[in-house]
Amino acid sequence: MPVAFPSISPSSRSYSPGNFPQTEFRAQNGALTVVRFGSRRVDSELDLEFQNITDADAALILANYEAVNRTWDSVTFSTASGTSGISGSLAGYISEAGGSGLRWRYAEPPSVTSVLPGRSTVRCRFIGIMDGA
Amino acid sequence: MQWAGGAVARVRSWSIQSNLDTLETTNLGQIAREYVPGLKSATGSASIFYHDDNASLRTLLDNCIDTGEPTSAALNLVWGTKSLTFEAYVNSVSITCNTGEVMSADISFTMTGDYSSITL
Repeated sequence: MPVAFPSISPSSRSYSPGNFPQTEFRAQNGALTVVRFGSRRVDSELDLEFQNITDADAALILANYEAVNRTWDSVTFSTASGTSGISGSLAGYISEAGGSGLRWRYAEPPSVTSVLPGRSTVRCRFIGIMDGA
Repeated sequence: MQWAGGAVARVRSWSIQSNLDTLETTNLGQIAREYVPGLKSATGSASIFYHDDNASLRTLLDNCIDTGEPTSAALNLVWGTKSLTFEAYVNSVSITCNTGEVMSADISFTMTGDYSSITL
């Protein structure tokens, strides 16, 4: 059961749609042969940064990281969180809800930087995986 | 102007700049920048006629020009019925001596910690 990311809007976001799985062979004469393994992109990337949020919100993100990884699970985003400020089909890409078959998982543990008493900056990196389970 | 409890005589001028850092909390769902208060700070300067019989001025200079570890002291800026009091370090002293003129010392200071009292 996917776990919803807390309703915290990021201050910056970057997204990469990932690559199509393939292997390339380059002959000595320079000719390129490509073996394509699938017709769907994989390993999309999403970076979210939450600048100067309250420590309570930072704790919600850490709790989400634990909830997702306690079992093998994934994260979903909404317009109140990861897809805040965008609409239409672009939001579908970034939430990977447009039929890509990818599911967001944490690529690494969130990093928390304390800024002031009660304020922290949190950075999360996600990777879109095609779950074989 | 009082330094470490003693009035510094012959102050020609002084100034203080008080600052408040702001932390941006704008997120991607907003159309205007939003901030929360950050850290307070204050710096200032003073120009003082320098007489070697002025013990309080010597005390002030001793806080910066010292072979030991510099220490902070209470700085009280008073004008009329208004005043600002805070702990400060003297972090710059410029002593000028010209022929035919009274020696003067230009100092700058930096507040450490919060204001002790404010009467504005």
